[in-house]
Amino acid sequence: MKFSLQMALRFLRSSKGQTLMIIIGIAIGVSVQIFIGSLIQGLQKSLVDTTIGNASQITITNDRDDKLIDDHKMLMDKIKTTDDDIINITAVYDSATFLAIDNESQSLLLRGFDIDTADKIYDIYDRIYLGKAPIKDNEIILGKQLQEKYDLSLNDRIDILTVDRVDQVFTVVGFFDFKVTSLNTNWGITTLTTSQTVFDSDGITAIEMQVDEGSVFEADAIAAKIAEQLYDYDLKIDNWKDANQQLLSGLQGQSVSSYMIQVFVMISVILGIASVLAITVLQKSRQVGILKAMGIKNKVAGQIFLFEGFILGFLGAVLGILFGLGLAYSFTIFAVNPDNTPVVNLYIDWRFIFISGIIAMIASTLAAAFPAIRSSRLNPIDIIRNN
Amino acid sequence: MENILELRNINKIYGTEIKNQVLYDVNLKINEGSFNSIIGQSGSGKSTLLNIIGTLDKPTSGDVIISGKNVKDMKLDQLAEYRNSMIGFVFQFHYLLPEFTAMENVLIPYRIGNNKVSNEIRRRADDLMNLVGLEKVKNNLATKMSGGQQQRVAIARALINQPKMILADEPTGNLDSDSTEVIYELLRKINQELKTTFIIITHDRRIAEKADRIIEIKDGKINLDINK
Amino acid sequence: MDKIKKEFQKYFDEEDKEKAVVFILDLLQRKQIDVIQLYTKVLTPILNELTCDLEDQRICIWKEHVKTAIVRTIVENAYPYVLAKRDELNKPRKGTVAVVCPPEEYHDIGAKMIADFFTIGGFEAIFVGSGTPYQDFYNAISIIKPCMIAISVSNYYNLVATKRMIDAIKKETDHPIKIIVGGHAFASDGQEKARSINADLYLDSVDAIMNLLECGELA
Repeated sequence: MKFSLQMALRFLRSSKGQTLMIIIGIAIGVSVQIFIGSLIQGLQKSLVDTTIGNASQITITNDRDDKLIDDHKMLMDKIKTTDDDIINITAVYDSATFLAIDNESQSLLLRGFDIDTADKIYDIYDRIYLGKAPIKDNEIILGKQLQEKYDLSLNDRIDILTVDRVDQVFTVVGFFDFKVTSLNTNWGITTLTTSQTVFDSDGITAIEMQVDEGSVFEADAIAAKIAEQLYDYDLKIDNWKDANQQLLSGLQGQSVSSYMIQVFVMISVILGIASVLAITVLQKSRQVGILKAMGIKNKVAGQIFLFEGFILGFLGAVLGILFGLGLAYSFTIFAVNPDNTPVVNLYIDWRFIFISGIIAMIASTLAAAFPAIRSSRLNPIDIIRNN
Repeated sequence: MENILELRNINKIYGTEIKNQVLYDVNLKINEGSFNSIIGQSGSGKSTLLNIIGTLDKPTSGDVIISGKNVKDMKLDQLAEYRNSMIGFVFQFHYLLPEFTAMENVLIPYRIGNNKVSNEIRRRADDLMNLVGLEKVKNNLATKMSGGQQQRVAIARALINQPKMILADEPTGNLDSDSTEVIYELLRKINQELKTTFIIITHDRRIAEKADRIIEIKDGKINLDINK
Repeated sequence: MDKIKKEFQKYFDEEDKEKAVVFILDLLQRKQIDVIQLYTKVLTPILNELTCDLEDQRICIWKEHVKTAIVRTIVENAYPYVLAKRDELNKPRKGTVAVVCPPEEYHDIGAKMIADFFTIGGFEAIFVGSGTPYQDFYNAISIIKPCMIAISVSNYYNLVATKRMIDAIKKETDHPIKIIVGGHAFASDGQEKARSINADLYLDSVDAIMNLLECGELA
């Protein structure tokens, strides 16, 4: 084995130009894969993040008349055990209310959160730009647009009217900015306990949760698992995928085209390598002929060219990865928005890059398979007789 | 003296649809340590015979017995190993690997059959390079030498595994007459000093004259077989 | 005889052609040596012992040619004595023999001497020598029709060409012809070698020639 490796290295070194050409060919293929792959992945992540990064990905509600879920603590424990990918589970009590300030009124979705767990989904703490999160009963935080509209300040008192016409007074202890106008205008966030007290209930209106970043696209499968677990409870389980069909088909289309590009790039690289290596075998046929006359085994003769393929693949992959990352990085420097943020945020998936490298190495070793077989079948007599 | 080689009823036929018989019932015994020349016209079958002796080609029928072992039923890998240790080849063209130096070329047959090149082997290679008169150019790349020098490297290479037989097919065919002189002196010297058996196909009377035995092949048969 | 050989050797080694030739011819004339003794005990041994002790091997061939030329001159000049010896022995006429060397065999001195022996033995010896093209030779044989051909071979490599020649002669001649061979090439295992090249007879000495009957029949 060592001998065929050393022969392969020496053969490659002796025709530097050709060797370099193949390596660059592989590198280009790999770098295209990595560049496009990373770009598309970054784009997708961006989109998905924007859509559901700060929202519930699986939501459990009840179709009952009162729309309430009982025993939510027990249910939440059960749900947590359903799948390891379920993270950031929180209990929510939402109610449609009216906000009355001075003489104006508007509808307000009063969201009762267990702030600490809900923060994991909604990033509440970071979004508060003034004041603090509600802790005590009847504390509330409101959105930026509301602060501006009603010229509110901290510790102002506001009236909240429930559907049952109960009037509650809340103290505004902070202001948030979710960067989405509708949220900033229509939400009011208070503690879960407050909501439950105001509406006199132990139940909750929904269990919200997210799944692990890597499993975002399996939210529907996970939801189905939960459905199975909670079969007896007759609850409604929604997931973000069912709710965003158009986005999903757009993403899928992107993925498919990206894969197709990558596959065809790899195929052409393989064909290129195979043809150059086939020529190499021809060029080296004299050498292989005399080696066989001197007693090299057929298998070993083939190994030489397999090693050539492997070495070329390895060097090409390494070069290609560097090149691809470089391309990707320069893309983020040159393709920028007016505010100098990158058009697409690059996502470096090291696992993807590693796999691309491995695929390149396997591909070029495979490409070397035919030349290797030819070399192992070469009959020394044919070489010697023809000279 | 023992027979290093015995050929029994060797026949060789080429082709499947149009058959061409090249060797007819050849029987031959070669003594160990002898210096033999094979002569004959082009197409007489002598190269085919040498290739069969060297196990590079299989006879259509008949037995090839080298050092007492019949190579008929040896598998390809076994044959390769046997060839590596028993036989050295020198062809009309040197077939040195151009990617390697002279010294590296000489070591290649050893490396084919063994994992590590010990110091002892390196010394043996050095001695061989001295024997063929190339100590000064041993680290030159194979392409950076004259034709005569390259052929001498090929001879040294054929000897590194201390083979029982050296098979040479027109070893001086591509060389000018001065180099030819050097080569034939060298071959005889090796035979005398190392007692290696030589079977040499040659058109060169200077080599044939120096041989202990002349075997003439004509139309695929041994026409004349005389000892000196 | 030893004395003669020694003196001749001296002139020979010095390559003094004049002294060597005059010395021998003088001996022949004074009947102190006869032709057969000259050939077998002086000239042939001296030719066979021809070696080159020089440090510089490059003029060995030159020296060999010069020395051989001395012997050649002597042999040519000894022809009258050959005829005289023949008449002295007065053997019966035994047929025609063509004495020849195979192609590329240039050591024809041996053949010359053999031709002279045949002459002495009562044969009509036609000395052809070396370098005659095959076809001429065959044509001549068919015209002259010798009953014997004597081939002298010095270098064992030339036995290959000799066999070719013998095979061709036997094929091309339509009258019975005996092929005799001899020379340094047959030094070891002469009979066997002669047989393998398809010769009819192998002769290794002058006596063998003398004892031949007509057309090469053995006594």
